[in-house]
Amino acid sequence: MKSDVLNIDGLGYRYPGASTPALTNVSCAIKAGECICLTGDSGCGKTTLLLAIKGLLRGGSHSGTIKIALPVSQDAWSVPVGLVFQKAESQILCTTVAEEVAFGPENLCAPPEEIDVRVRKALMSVGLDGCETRNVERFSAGQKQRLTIASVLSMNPSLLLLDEPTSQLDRQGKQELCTLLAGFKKQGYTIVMTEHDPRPFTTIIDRYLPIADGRSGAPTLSLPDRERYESKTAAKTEPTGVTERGVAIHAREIALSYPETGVALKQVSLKVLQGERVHLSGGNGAGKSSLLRCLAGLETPGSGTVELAGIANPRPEHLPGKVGVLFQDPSRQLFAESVHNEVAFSLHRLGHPPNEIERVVTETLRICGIGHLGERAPLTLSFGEQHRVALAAVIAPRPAVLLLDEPFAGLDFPQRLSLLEILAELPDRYGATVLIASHDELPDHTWADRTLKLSEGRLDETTH
Amino acid sequence: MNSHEQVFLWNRFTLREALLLGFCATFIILTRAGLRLHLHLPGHVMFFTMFFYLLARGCVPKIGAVTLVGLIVSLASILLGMGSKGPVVFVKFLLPALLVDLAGALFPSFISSMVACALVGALAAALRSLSDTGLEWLSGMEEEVLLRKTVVTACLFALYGGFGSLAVPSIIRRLRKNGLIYRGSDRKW
Amino acid sequence: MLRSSDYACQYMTHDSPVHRLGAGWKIAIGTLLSTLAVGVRTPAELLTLVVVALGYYFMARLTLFDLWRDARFFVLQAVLITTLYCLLNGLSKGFWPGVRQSVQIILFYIPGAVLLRTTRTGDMMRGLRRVVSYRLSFLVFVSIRFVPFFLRELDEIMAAQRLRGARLLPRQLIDPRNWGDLFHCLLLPLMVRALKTADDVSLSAEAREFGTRKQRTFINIPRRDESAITAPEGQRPACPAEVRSCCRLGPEARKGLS
Repeated sequence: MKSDVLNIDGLGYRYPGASTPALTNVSCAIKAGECICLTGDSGCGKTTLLLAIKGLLRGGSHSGTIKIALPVSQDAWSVPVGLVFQKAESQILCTTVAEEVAFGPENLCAPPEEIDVRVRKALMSVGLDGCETRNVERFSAGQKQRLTIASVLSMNPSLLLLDEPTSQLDRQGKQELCTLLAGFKKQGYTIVMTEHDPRPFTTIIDRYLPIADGRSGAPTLSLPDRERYESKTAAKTEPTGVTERGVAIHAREIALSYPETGVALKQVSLKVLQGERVHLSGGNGAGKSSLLRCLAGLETPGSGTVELAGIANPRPEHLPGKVGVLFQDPSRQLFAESVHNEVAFSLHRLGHPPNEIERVVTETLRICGIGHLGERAPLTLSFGEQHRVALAAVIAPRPAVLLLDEPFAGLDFPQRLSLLEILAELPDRYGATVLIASHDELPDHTWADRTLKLSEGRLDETTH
Repeated sequence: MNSHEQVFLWNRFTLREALLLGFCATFIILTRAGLRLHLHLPGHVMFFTMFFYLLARGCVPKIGAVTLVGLIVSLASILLGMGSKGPVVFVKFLLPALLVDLAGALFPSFISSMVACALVGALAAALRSLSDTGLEWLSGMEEEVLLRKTVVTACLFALYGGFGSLAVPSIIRRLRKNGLIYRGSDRKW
Repeated sequence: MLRSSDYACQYMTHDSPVHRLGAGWKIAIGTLLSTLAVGVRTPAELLTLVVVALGYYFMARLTLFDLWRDARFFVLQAVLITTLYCLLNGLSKGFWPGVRQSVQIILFYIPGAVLLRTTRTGDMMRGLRRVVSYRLSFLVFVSIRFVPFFLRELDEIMAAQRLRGARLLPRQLIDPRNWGDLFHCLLLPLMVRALKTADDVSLSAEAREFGTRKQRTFINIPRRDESAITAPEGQRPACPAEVRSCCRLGPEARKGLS
C-alpha cells in the first residue's frame, strides 16, 4: 500500500488585507505516484492551494496543516516539491536553456559537476536534450513549457505541482504534455495539477479534487461536471433586414515572412462577408496572429493586399471606430481610473458628444455584463472582469469588424461560453463581422458560420 | 513591504521590489537605445531616464531605490556595450539617482507634486551633465570654455529631465487607485 | 541581446592578443591609459600616448573603420571644442589647447571601446559575478534578460492603443498635447506589466530557492567558439550562426574564420 506523500488537513488561508478567505477547510491526502487534478472556476483557490503546498504564501492568516513526506534518498541539493507556474514566459529567468535548468541546483549550492549531470538528465526527461546552448527567446510555447518543467525537475522533487500547464498550448502541445506527464508518473513522480479543462489528461489522472469558493469537495474518480465541457448552443439569429451582404474582410494572396523565423504566411487569401462569424483555428505558430496583424495594418505583408471595412491597405490610425481588435491578454491595455473612462476612451477620441458617449458606454457595459462595475478601477478587478472591460472598450465604438486574437486564454469554460454569447449578439445588433483566432476549439461548435484552418502559413476553409 | 516578506538586498528591499527596480532599469535601457536609434539628439535620453527614476521612487518609496536603479543601469550599460565611457557611466547614472534619493529622504511626499517632481527631475538631469564637465576639467580644459559648454549642456539636460518628470505624479496616482502600489512601503501581492 | 547595428563598440569575433586577455586585465590597462590621458600636457607626452593607445587598439585587430565608428562622436565634439578655444583666444593661442583637449577626451574613451570590442557579454557577466554579490548580479542579468520581453509588451500595448485611437506615433508625439497618451496609454500599462512580472519572476525564483542561502554555485558554461579559435587550420568548425548574426566582420576577420 502506497504511503501518503501529501496530507492536507483543514487548511485555511486569508491573504493580507483580504475580506474573505481564499481557502477554507481544505483537506485531502495524496499517495505516492498519484496524479491528482484540482478542478474549479477561476478564482476558486486552486493556485493559492498550490502556493500553500509549496510554502510560498507569506503573511496573511493560516490555519490547518500541510504535511509532506520527504523521500528517503533526498540529498542536500534537492527539494521535496517542485512548482511549475502557469505562464512560462515570466517564469524563465535565464537566457539559455542550460542556465535556466541549472538555476535551481545553483541556488541549492550543488557542485558544478552535479549541476551538469542534473541539467542533462532533466533536459532528456522533457525531450530537450541537445538544446543546452539555445536561446530561450526562440522557443515555441510548448518548448518553453517543457523547459520550465525541466528547470523544476533538476531540483529532484518527488512531488510535482503544475498550475494550468496547458493554458498557452494548442491541441498538439496538450497531447505532448500528457505523454510527458504519463512518463513522469511511470517514473514514480506524484503529480498535482490544476486545470480548467482536464479532458486531455483523463487517461493519467487518478482522482479529481473539486474546489469551489476556496473549499474542497469530495474527491471523485471521474471528471466532475462533465456536462459543462460539452458544446453548448448559444442563441443565434440571422441578421434581419439584410438582403445582400457586402465584404467586410478581403485579403488577397498575403505573404509574410520574418528574418528570424522565416515564412509566416504563404499566399493567404480570405473573404469574409458582413455579419459573418468566423473561427480561424490553427496550432501555435501557424500564423493566426500574423494574419490578424496584417489585416489590422500592424504588419506590412511582403506581397498581397488587404481591404478591411472598406479601407484598402489600412494603417492602424485609420481603423478606430471601424475596426476593433482584442489582443491576447487584453488586460494589458487598461489604464484609466475607472471602467467607465476606459470604455469611453475611444469614443472621446472619435469626437462623439458627451451625452452620446454616456448612452453608448452604459449600453456597452450592460451588453458585456459589467454594468455594476462602471466606477471601479479596472486593474482592481479579477482577470475575467478585466477581460470584459477590455472587450467593452473595443466594441464601444460599434466597429464594423471585430478581430479577436486568442480571446479564451486564461478563461475558464463558463467565462468562454459567456464571451461567445456576447460576441454572438454583435452581428445581430450592429451588423458587426466577428473573426476569432484561437487554437482552442470553441465552447459552442455552432457559433461560427465558417471555420478556417491555418496551418504552416496556409489557409484551408471548412464551411458549415 | 509586508513585514513577513523576506528582505533580499541591502537590508531593505524584498526580491519583488528589487526586481521592479531592475525593470525600471530595463526601461531606461530600452528608451536609451530606442531614442538614440531614431533621434540622435544629445540630452534627450534624460526625458525618460528621469521619468523612470522618479517612477521607481514612487513605486518603491525607500531610500536607495533610485540608487539601485542607477547602479543596475550602469552595470547593464557596460555589459550591453552602451558604456564605452568606462567608469564614467557610473557617475552619469548614479549622480542623478542619488539626488532623487536625497529628495525622497528630505521630502518623502514630493512624488505627489508635479512642481516638485519637475524641479527634482531638472536638477538631477543637470547634475548628470556635470559628469562630463568633471572629466574635462581634470584634463585641463580652459575654464571659460568649460563653463560655457557646461551651461548649455546643463540647461538642455534640465529641460528634458524636468519635462520627463511631470507625468510621474499622475501615473503614481493611477497605480495607487488601482491598488497596485501603496503610499507607504506596503504592496499588495 | 540588445545590440544595435547603430552602436559603436560591437563585439568583434576574431582572435587577437587582446581578445585572449582576461576582462580584468583589460579593465586595468584601460584604467591606466585613461588616467594617463587625463594627465598629459606636453605635445611629446600626448604623441606618446596616442601611439600607445592606437597600438593597443590595432593590436586587437580592429580597423580604421572601427576606430571611426567608435570615435566619430568625439571627433564632432573636437571640432566644437577647438572652435570655441579659437574664438575665445584667437587662432594662434587657441588651436593647440583645443586640439590637446579633444585628443585627451578621445584617448580617455579608446580603452573602453577596446574592452567592449574584445570581451564577450558572457565573459563580462562572469567577471561581474566576481566583483559584486550574486544578488546584485542577478538583478543586472534579469534586467537585461527581460529587454526582449518588454520590447514585445511595448509593441503589443502600442498596437492595442493605436487601434483605440491613442496618438503614439513619433510624428504625433512631437506635439506636447499628445504626451498624455504616451504616459497614460503606453507607459502606465507598461509599468503595470512590470509590477505583475516582478511578482511572477520573484515567485518563480523563490520557488526554486533563490536567495535562501548566502552563496550560490554556478554551472560551468564552456566558452563558445573556443574551438573555432584554437583548433588548427582545416579543422575549425563553421562559425555558429548565432555568432555570425550578431557581429560585424571586416574582410580580414572573415578570412580568419573560413
